[in-house]
Amino acid sequence: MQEKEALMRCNPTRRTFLKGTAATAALAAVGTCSVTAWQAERAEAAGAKTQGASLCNGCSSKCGLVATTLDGRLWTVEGMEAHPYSKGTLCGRGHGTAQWAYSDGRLTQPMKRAEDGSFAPISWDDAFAEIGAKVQEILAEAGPEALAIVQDPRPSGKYYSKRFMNALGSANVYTHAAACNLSKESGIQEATGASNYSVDFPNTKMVVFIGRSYGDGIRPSSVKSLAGAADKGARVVIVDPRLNNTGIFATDWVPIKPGTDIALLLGIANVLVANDLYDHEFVEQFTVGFPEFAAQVAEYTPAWAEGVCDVPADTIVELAEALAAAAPACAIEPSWRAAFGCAYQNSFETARVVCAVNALLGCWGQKGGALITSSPKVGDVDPAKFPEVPKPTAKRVGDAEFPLALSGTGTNLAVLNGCNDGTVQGVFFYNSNAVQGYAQPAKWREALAKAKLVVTIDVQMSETALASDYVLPECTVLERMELPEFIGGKKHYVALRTPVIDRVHPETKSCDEIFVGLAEACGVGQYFPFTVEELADAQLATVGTSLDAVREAGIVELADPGFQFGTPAFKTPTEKFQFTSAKVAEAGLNPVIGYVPRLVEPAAGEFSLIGGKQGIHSHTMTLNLEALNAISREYQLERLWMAASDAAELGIADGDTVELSSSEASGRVAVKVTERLKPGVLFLPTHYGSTSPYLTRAQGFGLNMMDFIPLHLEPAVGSTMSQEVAVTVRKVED
Amino acid sequence: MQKRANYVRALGALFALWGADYPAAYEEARAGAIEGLSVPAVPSAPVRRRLENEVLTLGSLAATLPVESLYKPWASASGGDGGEPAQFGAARNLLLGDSAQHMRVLYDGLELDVPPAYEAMPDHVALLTEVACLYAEAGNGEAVRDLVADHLDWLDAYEEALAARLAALEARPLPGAQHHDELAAALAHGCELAGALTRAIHDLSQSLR
Repeated sequence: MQEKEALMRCNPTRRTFLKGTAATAALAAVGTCSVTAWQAERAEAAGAKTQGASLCNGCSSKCGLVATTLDGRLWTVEGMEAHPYSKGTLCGRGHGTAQWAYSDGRLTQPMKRAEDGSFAPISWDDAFAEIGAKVQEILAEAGPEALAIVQDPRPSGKYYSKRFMNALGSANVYTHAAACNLSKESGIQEATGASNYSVDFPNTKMVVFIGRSYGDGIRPSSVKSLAGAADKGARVVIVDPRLNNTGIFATDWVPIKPGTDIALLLGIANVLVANDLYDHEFVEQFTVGFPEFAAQVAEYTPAWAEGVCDVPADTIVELAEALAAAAPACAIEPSWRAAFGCAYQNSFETARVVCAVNALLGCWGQKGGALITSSPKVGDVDPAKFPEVPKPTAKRVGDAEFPLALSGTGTNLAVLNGCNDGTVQGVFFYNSNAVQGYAQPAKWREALAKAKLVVTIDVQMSETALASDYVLPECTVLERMELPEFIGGKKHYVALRTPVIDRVHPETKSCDEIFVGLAEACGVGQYFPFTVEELADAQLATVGTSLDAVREAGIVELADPGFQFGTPAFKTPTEKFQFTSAKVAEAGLNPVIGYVPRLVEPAAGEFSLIGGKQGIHSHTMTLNLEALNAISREYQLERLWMAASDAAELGIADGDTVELSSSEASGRVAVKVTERLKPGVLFLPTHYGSTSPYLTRAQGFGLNMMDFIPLHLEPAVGSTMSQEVAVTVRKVED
Repeated sequence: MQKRANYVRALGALFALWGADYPAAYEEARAGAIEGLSVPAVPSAPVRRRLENEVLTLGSLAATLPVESLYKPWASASGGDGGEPAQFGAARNLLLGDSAQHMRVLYDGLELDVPPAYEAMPDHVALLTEVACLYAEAGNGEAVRDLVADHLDWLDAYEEALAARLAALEARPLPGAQHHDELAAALAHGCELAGALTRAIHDLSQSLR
């Protein structure tokens, strides 16, 4: 509407658009500057070239980048040398998402859904006012606990979304984790007191990956670290039903039955204990519950494990012995989403077993082992300038049912359940395509249709935006300033996302501007009387630097945290590594680290279905970008992988179209026949199958794995169990 | 030349957002029609609304905008001063490409300001055709010829894009029949407008030979 008004104001009587009187002499001058002449002239001229540092948004890693602009236009982007995640390299997603600012597929103004389901532009003022009125209505009728926000954390988003929701009196703040790394981080937390750890690649002799593939994303630095370890002769073992793209660095591929990594790991633990290959000193001094664990693990012999996971017992014994020989300069890598981030009923427990094996190897904190490092801590800022928000009185929806979910993330699927039972009536999504990726899309749509208000903040019309009442357009990554990003590890850093180009579409807003607008409209604007720059500067002052300093350099190394090799302080309730957990017992599960089977066992004629990332995409977010979508299409990356022996048995040839079916859905897709997959398993990339007609390049290309997955949550954790499904496949003859 | 340029401008203006005032814009175009060239029919209000809200608005359901940058490589090979080329210079479907930059140079020279709504698309067909008309009013046929050759040579691709949108819509009908039918009619009307404009530009070019 604003656009129309602006146009109409130009000169309605003459129906012209360009302002100004037009220089008569210039119009009449013989000859003009043609495009060819202009391009030739520009090739010789020195354009106004500038460089600016910022952070990528191609995935959640937020690698440092350096953008070069020419006459205000983005010209090149490259990885920042000093940033610990990029180390001078930007991945394909980083280059692809840099184009977003100029993309024809982005949202440029707020949109409101009409009764017929279509969307029409609405002004910011009207959108804020209507959303504010609806929020007040929900607050009056159901209280603040009926409001929730789901966000995939970004530097500003994680701060503003929580502050906004808490200011309204709601504790219902969730991340994407239930469809990412919730089980893994919650499991590691229960065992070690930290939610994650890293492998000391420069010194490692042996590392075992459980499903995770650095070669398929995410951080350039991870690939460089692994490549360095491989060059130095480290043994790199990939445990995965699929020979993934980390294979180039691997010494071993251990194809395994999906969802049974826990059995392999327990088999290794059994060998370490039974053959007295474990680190007695570590176990005795730094752990609790080892006797109970040892008694339980005695059952999990390599022979037993082979029966469950289909990895030969001899292989399991050999891996255990090799790890023991390399210890403590070895580790089971912590993984991320992959095989036990949120995939199975046993994902939380698998993470605990990973930690247990590392404990038996005595590798926690050791050179070449598993390192728990610290993160910078932002100090208190002036409460007069940045008023404290009262802590919500009601508990977060879902926490009682899923007590093992990491407190920092919660399970966003509690929102889905809450919409269904009426507990949650107003939902905000920031930088999150929950509908398409967090659980079965049909279930999300059904649930959100019951809410009184759904608002999505995004740069494009995602499937979640389509299920919303209002869609608020954020400006793209290289156009916006965000709060500082603090980076932990052996060294501490702080980096900053700053605008390196002007906003292409003036009607888009940055995260902070949108949340401040929402807060004011919802009657809690008093908690946001500051700019993002003021808050950033205040936060940075607490760690000994300033906004100017970080803006100038892009990244600043903070005070040395004093990392030293050696057994870390385990911040568990017992202050030790926990083979047993009282919290797990309280949640009604076996407190001792042990075995949990996967939920769904494929019957004869059925397949396991596994998913995974590809290096050029971040879930569903990047699919519609011209360059990245073109790569997917050029290389037919949407194809379903099938083992050659299975394909031969079913009469399926490479490139054939098949119909994939589960209890929930059916869909057609081309097949990639390969020797790089364990028979009985199908692999489907997790990015594809967009249904949003707004995402014209992505819509209808490939299948969305979540369509095939029943809605069921991992007990006590609340993860989406993204691979608990059995499927059938048949060749499409027509 | 002037009459033909006026008609081109009036047709180009139909790709702008007029809201409820759209009949007058059509009336102006029809009044200035050139003999032998097609004259677009006035669409119904719902169809015109779909065209403006869901085809001619960036980020909308069937967004297909008549903006030159979207149909040409984004940037020429050289970065100026012997520098490296733009990293995604060959990409298409991006706004503010070389055509937009060149138009800004022309606007500066002509002392014309681009309104805020067109900041991201100074090479929108409504503006391009208006400049052509201004040149014609000044009697500068060479400039009209250059502008047509440089900046109005992509309308076939635009018409094809609209037709592809329509085909995609028919392949995946919208859930609401009325919405679907109105949007389909809007896309078809967009094709009609693009075709009429292409022919009018061709006619203008021919007249300048």
